[in-house]
Amino acid sequence: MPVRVAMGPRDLENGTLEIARRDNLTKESREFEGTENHICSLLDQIQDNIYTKALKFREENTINIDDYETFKQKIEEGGFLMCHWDGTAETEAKIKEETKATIRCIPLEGPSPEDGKCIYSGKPSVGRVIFARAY
Amino acid sequence: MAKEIVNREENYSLWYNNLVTKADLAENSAVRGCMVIKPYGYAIWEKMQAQLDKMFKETGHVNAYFPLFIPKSFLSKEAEHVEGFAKECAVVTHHRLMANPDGPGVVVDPDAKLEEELVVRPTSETIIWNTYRNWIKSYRDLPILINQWANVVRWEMRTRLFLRTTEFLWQEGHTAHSTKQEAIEETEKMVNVYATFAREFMAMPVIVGRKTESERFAGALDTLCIEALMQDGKALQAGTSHFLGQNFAKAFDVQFANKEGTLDYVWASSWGVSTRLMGALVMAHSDNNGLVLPPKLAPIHVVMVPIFKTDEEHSRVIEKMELLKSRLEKLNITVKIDDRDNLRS
Repeated sequence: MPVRVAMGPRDLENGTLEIARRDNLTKESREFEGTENHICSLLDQIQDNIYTKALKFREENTINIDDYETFKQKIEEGGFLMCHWDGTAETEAKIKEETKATIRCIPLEGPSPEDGKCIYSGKPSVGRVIFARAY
Repeated sequence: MAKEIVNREENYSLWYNNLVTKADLAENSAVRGCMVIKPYGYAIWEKMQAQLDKMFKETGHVNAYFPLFIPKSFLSKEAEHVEGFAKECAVVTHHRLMANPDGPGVVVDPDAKLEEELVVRPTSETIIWNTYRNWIKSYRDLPILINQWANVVRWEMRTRLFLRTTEFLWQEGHTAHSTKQEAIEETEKMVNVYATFAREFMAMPVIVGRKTESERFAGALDTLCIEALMQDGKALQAGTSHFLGQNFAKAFDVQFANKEGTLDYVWASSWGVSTRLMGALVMAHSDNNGLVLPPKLAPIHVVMVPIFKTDEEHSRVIEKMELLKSRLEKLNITVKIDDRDNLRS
């Protein structure tokens, strides 16, 4: 459950309760009156917070790689490896065979495509694609 | 609960399995590769379904239902499609059992062999496009914007709860259009619906992209997808939307008379997400203490725990909690008062 509310006899005396958040494991004591509105906005905050956290994780684990040796090392650590690819199924299959990484997609959003050279064949590429090991 | 979950840094795969089973989302069944979705897991799936269904209807789609079984001959009508799915099809060959003449139990009645074997649907393009042939005569019958909520079977060798199971639940949209442009726009529209759902409801960042030719859906001219990154650094394909061109219309001879009165093949899209999203949801946010759910998909938002020593204290605390519960419910927040006796301090 995203939010946990605890209340005991002392809270009854003081007109308080304790609110715990599951996402960041913080707790706070609050006035009983008006708690419903607080919880309502807290749920929105939690929704935003876990998205931001997951986005930060993805950004920290998305890197541009421009040579195949580095690629082979980095793929062991996981993450999205943004690389130039020559557009051929042969290169895609070779990389998969050698590293178990597949092209997850040719992104349709994010930074605009830049020209480069394929990390495997050195042939021209028109934009980076996302390599990763996948479920 | 927390103590029974292995640390994700130690063994990510076991951490995931621990989470799914300890949080009572699902468990393995007597049938290899098939899972039992338990009530709490199903409640989350229902929240997902409800939201997606709303978004499909807002974009003009309606629901319908097509058969679980597909005549074997249908599958081979689209060459690439059958090649892609042949290796994972469950096939029904007989329709009756009989008492075992040589001992206890029952055996398949050899006299009950089906004339044509039936495939348990791995996806429904073939049965649906065979049906659309009878529905579509003219441009006035188009577009058809249908979605179905169903189960499908793909015989998987290595399975994991929610992420890859032999039988899974999903939705599959199958649309028919009079122009190529309209079918492409539909394909793009639906991948963006999935992206919005993932970001705003699952709180899961995704990248919208295009599959390479070798990763494309079997029978599609173009496959768009949403891809997410899991906490162990592996990617997870969370949804796909396909532009099918006229491939299935040609395979099933679905033609329409256009405004000029000439016949043309119908353009198609198909798109789907499955209970795999449950696996993605679990992996996206949870930690070593257990499951973390985004409020928008949590079946229960707030759990209240009373602390008390005497029955008198108990009833006073519960009374106050009931008051807060009713106030929260007016704001559409779901509340559970965890009033088990063993919580007595």
